[in-house]
Amino acid sequence: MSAATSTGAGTLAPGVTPASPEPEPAGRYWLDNESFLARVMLLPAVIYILALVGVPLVLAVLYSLSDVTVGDQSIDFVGLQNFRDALANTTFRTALRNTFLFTIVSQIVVLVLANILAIVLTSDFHGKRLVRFLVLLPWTTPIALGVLGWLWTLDNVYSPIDFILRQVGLLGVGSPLGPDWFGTNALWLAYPERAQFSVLLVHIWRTLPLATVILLAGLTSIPQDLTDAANVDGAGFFRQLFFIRIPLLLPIMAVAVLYGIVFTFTDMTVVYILTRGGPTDSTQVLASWAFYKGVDGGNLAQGAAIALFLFPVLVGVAALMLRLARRAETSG
Amino acid sequence: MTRWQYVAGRGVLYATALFFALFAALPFAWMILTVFKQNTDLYNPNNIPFFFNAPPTLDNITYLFDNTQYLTFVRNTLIVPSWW
Repeated sequence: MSAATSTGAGTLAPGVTPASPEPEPAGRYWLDNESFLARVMLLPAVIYILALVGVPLVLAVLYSLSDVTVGDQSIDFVGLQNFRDALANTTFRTALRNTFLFTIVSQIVVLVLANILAIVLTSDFHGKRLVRFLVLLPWTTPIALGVLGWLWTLDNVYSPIDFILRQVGLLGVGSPLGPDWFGTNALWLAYPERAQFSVLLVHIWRTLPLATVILLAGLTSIPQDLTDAANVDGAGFFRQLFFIRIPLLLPIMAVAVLYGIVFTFTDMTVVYILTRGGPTDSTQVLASWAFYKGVDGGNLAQGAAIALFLFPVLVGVAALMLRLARRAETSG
Repeated sequence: MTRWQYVAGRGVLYATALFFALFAALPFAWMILTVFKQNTDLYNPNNIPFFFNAPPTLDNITYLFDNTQYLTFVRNTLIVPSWW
């Protein structure tokens, strides 16, 4: 260090004795400066987040307060007119209700099914590896591909599900389910209620594997002594389930549900491929309605306003996730 | 635990596992099966959908290579930008 400073001083002013102690030349040892280095190395991540999350979010807010369309992209502010227009639209209200309905109902069902499935997959039985493989398949498949499979499975004429229902007598004239089921086909995607049920079914199918995997990971963290002690005390299956497993798994279940909420709440692929929002906009969700209005219809401002209705819920979910993550960090 | 309870428990376990496996695999099974089915077999609602009522065919696969840009699609999936 002393050699470096003396040569530096020498080149600056030959023959002049430098004042001592000499202040360190700025930027010279920047690679040794940890706080500077940390900032440089975090920069790519910060730029990435600003460009891909920050800019679109600011643009969405700007658009929602303006009259931007695909044809006229100059931003003229119109206040809250877009939000008023969105709320006045009946399809928007259906989309808002459906978004919450699909998310809440599918996640409640997923929570129950994932608990059952986790119990099944922690027991020993023949063919367990195959069952585990099949159960995880929907998670590894691209959403579009899985939904295409369901589109074909729920086909209005050639559905194999309808064939089974016909064989067992639940579909066709005299069906015990009532006159709605007297046709040769259930038309899963043609009646509003059945189309909504189909969308729910696909959401459940697609988010169940991840919830199950998260619960299975959580189950391994329950100490064996607790189960042993419960066995010695004579606690049966259900007592252990409700007094040991479920209470200890609650934080893990929260993680699973939060992920499921994010996936179903923001999703438009299922609705777009399965029903295109139909019949008569009865399965429209916020994401798909924003797409149809903003991109297909070209009214970017209206689309941005619709999409922003997703924002408060997602902020809440993100805050909850961060709290859970911090609690896990401090307790672990 | 009596023997009857044991058998009932195993029965419930296997039935539940089977239910979840079928639910998860149904669309995949249907997709794989229909790949090898002839259209005349597929588009006849009186046929049993789970069997090959007409002989299996590779037509649907050769169609991909002969009549669509399937190899381009595959390459685009593996390498994101299409100009590569």
